[in-house]
Formats: sequence, structure tokens, C-alpha cells
Amino acid sequence: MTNIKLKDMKVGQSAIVVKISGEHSRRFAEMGIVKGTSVKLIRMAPLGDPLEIRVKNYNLSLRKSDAEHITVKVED
Amino acid sequence: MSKQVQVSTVKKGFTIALIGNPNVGKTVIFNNLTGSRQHVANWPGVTIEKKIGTLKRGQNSIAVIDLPGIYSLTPNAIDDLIARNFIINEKPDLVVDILDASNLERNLYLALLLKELGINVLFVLNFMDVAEKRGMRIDIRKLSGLLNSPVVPTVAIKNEGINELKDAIFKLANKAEESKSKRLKYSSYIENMIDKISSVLSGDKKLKDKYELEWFAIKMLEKDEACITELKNSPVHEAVKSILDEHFRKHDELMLAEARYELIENIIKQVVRKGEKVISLSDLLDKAFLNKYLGIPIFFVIIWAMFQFTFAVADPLMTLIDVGLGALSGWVSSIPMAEWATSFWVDAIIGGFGSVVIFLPNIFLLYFALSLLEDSGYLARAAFVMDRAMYKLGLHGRTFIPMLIGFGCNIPGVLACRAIEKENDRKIAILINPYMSCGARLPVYVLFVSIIWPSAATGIIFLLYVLGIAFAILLALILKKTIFRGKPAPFLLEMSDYRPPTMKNTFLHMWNKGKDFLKKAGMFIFTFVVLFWFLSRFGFVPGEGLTFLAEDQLEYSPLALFGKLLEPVFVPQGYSWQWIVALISGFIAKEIVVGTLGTLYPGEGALDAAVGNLHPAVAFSFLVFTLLYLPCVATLPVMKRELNSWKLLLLSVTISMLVPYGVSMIISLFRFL
Repeated sequence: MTNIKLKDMKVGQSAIVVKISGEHSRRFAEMGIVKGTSVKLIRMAPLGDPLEIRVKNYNLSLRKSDAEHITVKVED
Repeated sequence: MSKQVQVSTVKKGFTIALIGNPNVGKTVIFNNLTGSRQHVANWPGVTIEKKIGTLKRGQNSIAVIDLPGIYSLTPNAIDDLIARNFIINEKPDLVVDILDASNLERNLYLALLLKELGINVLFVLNFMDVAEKRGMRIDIRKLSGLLNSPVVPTVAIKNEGINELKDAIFKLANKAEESKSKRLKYSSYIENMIDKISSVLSGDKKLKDKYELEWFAIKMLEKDEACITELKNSPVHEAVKSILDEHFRKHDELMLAEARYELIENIIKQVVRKGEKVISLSDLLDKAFLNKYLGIPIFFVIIWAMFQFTFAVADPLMTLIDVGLGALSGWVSSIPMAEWATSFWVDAIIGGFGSVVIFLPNIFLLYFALSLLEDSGYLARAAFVMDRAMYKLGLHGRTFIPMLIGFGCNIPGVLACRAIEKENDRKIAILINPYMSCGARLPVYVLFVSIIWPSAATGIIFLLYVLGIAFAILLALILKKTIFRGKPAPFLLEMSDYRPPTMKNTFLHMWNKGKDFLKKAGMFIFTFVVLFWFLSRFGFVPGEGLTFLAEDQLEYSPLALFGKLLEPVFVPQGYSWQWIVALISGFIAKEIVVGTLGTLYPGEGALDAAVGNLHPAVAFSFLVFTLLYLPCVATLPVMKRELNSWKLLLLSVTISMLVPYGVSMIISLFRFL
């Protein structure tokens, strides 16, 4: 298991959220990105940003600059 | 069908507030409950609309307030704050929280927040059909028990469960005593903290009267900015702070959010039996619509179709209105009366009325198209596809659509900014829209270009469009760095499933918005046109005194005098008074510039000769002036309304006078080179 940033995940990859930081952390948490939750990177926008992830059984898009603050744990 | 609940004792002024996440079908339920008995206002101080309706049954009526679609109740998001303040300060008798049954996990988050407020909540589980289609089985009774509130399942777009919902609302309204509902309990550590803090808080009488103290305690554990500020002046401030300092040494402010989602997971386990995973149509559509290579072309095709729909379908309707008004004018002209009276009826009254109704097809159709795009779920995808390009320019992903519509007409362009949720982003989008060169400016370009640069016509016109866009982007960057500075909000956009929009709601949406335009902007535009008529058709003619001006006497009108007065101001640009008057009259509608020049240079070929005599630099500067100066009179009240601020409108007007003046001056000075 390795910790990486959410923005560095590969499309189709799943991971577990381990840490959220930055000034918007509460906003992320409210949208379901909380410690221990599984997330899956569904796709990147055609221009490479933002990202679309699946979390708490729904699809959410967020910019890479925001996803910078989310650390996830992936299988090696 | 359930039989109607006996109602006789609903107290006067009983108010319910509808709340829910975005995309849960709240608008449809609002329409179902209130029918056409609704009106739109703005929440105080912001441009977010407030819909108010009435739910009637027999002699009883209940006021229904539609709160903004939100995910949370934080104080730093404006929509959240509106809902939160309304619930805390206005104390609605009942809050109806609409949940998407097919997406319960995140939807329950807001449900728990509402329960924490200690208010009466009724839950609606909408989209039951979607949940069932996914093989989900939801134990409604158990959910109601766990939430300690009534739960009503519905399929709002099919009107299923709406009568039961009305029954449930009236049943609660009939209860003489309001019973406050209990919130759900979290971990023993958190409950212990809530107890500790709220018992200290109870030492502050003012706080105790205003808030549910347990709620306030929870907010302190979340470092809620508004509650922290409120506590600063409290006598118990120090005592609370020492408890919190101790707590935050080991835990962070995300603890509550985590606890809520933990609780939700628990609830879901007990009430939802999940079906096997099916690939939804939505996923398939997104595979195409958001495809790396197809996403952008599809976006352009859809937006082009929308543009075509709005303007191409409107075109014959506008012609029809034009012809109708023309016939009416012709009929009025045939009635024998004084020359000025005929002109008054035809040019001022019918003309003023025409200036308003001529925009109606565009506005209605735009709202129709926008409503389709939004309700179907594509608008979120459009923002997803365009966000990166727009973000680089300091704009929100959704700004692209209003900008594009602005090329047709700035009024629907400004109106389309409604689709941008963040207030600052929306205001920037509104303020830059007038610089999208609208269709009415084209005739002015064409007149000049065909005479002065016949071989480079398309190129020059294209250059003008690009100039408008460039200035809009520059202005957006400046606005973002100055008056709209501030923390950028994170871009968090739910990609909800595509849903077929219903015609009933689309039409209702279109009708309400169109009606709104007529009511709010119509009178202003009409009055202005009438006033303008007086100023351009009456004047002192030497030897005749104050009189109605004939076509060849127009230079004596106050407007023409004003133009002559301004001539010295426009010396750097080299515009004579005729050109200045033409620009002033373009304020009514930009295409009038050409018509005015025609009347001021009467005679066959006189205007063409006048244009031909201009130095190319002066001519081009005049076109740039036409592009950048004040949008037409019909756009201003719409901008005022959407900005909800006289100050910002004044700012826009000032920019739209100074910038074109400066830029046209620089360009026209090239005539001396």
C-alpha cells in the first residue's frame, strides 16, 4: 500500500482516502470525501482537468489543484 | 389513493420550506405542491432567486418557500447561508427535505444537518423509480424510525406520492402542538463534548434564546466561522474556548463530518438492500459526451444547436411581431390626426411597446433551451468539458454558454449567467457579456466595412468580434484581481445522472422567466423609448418656436443639440455631431445607429459618401466605439436585475463609456500618421 495524491491516481483506479488538508477540507468532507472512504477515478476531462471521481455512490468532479490536497492509499 | 386528511385547524401563516441537494427534483415537487400559485423574488442582498408558492386545500393554505439547492449548511457558501439563516431566523413551521432515493448516502448528510437544528423535518424520498430500477430496496418504515421523522416516497415527475406528501404536510400542520424532533446521536466522545459545551453555553441567555444549544455546540466542534464570530462577544467565550482548545489538540474539525458519514453508512446498511450493479444509460452517455476526443466536438454541436434554436426559431417570430407592429402602425397612421400625434402613437407608443415584445421570442426560447440543458444534466457536463480552458482565463467553466449567447443578443446572454452558481463568477460573467458583439451591432459594421474595406470585409468584422472577446477576458481578469478578489471556492460539481426533462416543468420555467422579464424590464424600456421620442422630435426651430420637428428639422432637437454640444469632446476622434447623435440613438438599439445616420444624411447616396469620406482610422474607431460602448437600453435593466446592485451597474456603465472613448481616441489618432 502506498500513499499518493488523488490527482496522481490512474483512470479506473480505486483508493482509500487517508488525509484531507488545505482550506477547503471541510467542503470536501461534506461532499463525502472523508477519511476511510473509497474513491475511484472515473475519467479526466478532455482537456486533462478537472477530474471525475466516484465517491459515496455518486459522481463528483473536481479540479486537480483542489485534488492536490487529498491523499489516498492505493494497492501496489 | 389516500383519502384527504380532514383539515380545519391549519394555523394562519403556516409556512413550510423545501430544501434538498441540487438535482433531487425539488423544483418539480415545488411545482406539484403549488401549481401556478407561485412567484419569484430575490433573497435579500443576493441575486439568488427565492420562489414562494401556496399549497391550497379547501379553505386552508400553506406558504411554501423554496430554499436554494444545497449540500450543506456552512456559513461560507452563500446558498447554504441563505437556507441556514432562513431556518434559524424565520423559523418555518416545517422543513421538507427532499432526498434522491437513488443517491441516499450523500443526500442523508444534509438530512442529518437538519436534524441537528432540532426542527420539524419531513423527508421525501424522490426518484423511487430510479432506485427500484437499480435493484435497490429501501425500507421506508425503518428509515423513518431511524431518522425519527416521517418519510414519504415519491416519483415527482410522474406525480406519484404527491397526494400522500400533501396529506403528510397537512397532518403535521394540524397538530396543535409542535413537537420538536430529536437529532441523531453520534459517538459517545462527541456526545460528551456536545453536552459539555452546551451546558457552558447555557450560561449565555441571549444565545440560549436564539439557538438550539446542542446545534451551536456541534458548530463549535466544526470551527463554524459564523458561530465563532457570534461567540466572541459572549460572557462564556473563554470557558468554551478552553474546552475546544483541549479538544482540538487531538482532533480536527472534520471529525463531525466523518461521524455523520459513519452514521449514514450504518443507516444505509439497515434500510437499503442493494441490487446488482447495472451499467446505466447515464454512464454510457458520458462515455461519449465526456470522451477525450469527442467531448469537445459534441459540446460545440450541442451549444450550436441551442444557439440555432434560440435565434433561428425566434427569427420568424420576430419578423411576425415586426410585421404585426408595422400593420398596426400603418393602421394608426391612416387615422387622420396631427402629424405629431401620429408620430407619438407610431414611434413612441407602438415603437416602445415593440422594443419590449421584440425580445420576447428570444427570451422565451432561451429559457426553454437552458431549462432543457440544465434539467437533462448536460449543463454540468458542459462545465466539466470547458472548465480548464475557461479557468485559465479566470472564468468559471459555465461562463462559456452566456458568452456565446451574447453574440446573438446580450439580454439572453446576461440571463443565461443564472446557470453559474457562485455569485462572484456570475457577476463577472454578467459584466463582461455586453462586450460580446450582439447581432444588432452587425448592420453598423456591414455599412462601414462594405464601403471602406470591401475586399477585407469579413476579416475586419472578425477582428471586431475578437476585440470584444479580448476586452471581455481582460475585464474579467481585472475584476477578479480587484473587486471580486477573495478566496477562490473549490470547484466541486456533482455529475448527476442524465434525466429526461419534463415538458410541464420546462414550460413553467420558461413562462415564469419570460413573465418576469416583461414585468421588471418592460416598463423601463417602454418609458425610455417614449422619453427618447420627445427628445428627438420636439425642438426650437428659428422662426417657428417650440414645435414638432419635421424629418428635415431633426438637427434642432435637444438630442441633436446635445450631440453638437458633445462635438468638442469628440475632437480627438474626429466625429461630427451626426455621428455622435447616431451613437446616442444606438442606445435604444444598436442597429438604430444606421437608421439615424440615414436621417441625418438625407438624400440619395449622401450617407455612403459621408462614410466614404472618413479616414479609415476614424471609421474603424467608430466601429470599435459601437462595439464597446453602452449596451442597448433593454440590456441595462436586465443587468441591474441580475446583478442586483445599482453600484455594479453604474460601474459597468462607466466602463462602457470611458473605455470606448479611450480606445476609439487612440485608434483614430492613427489618422495623423
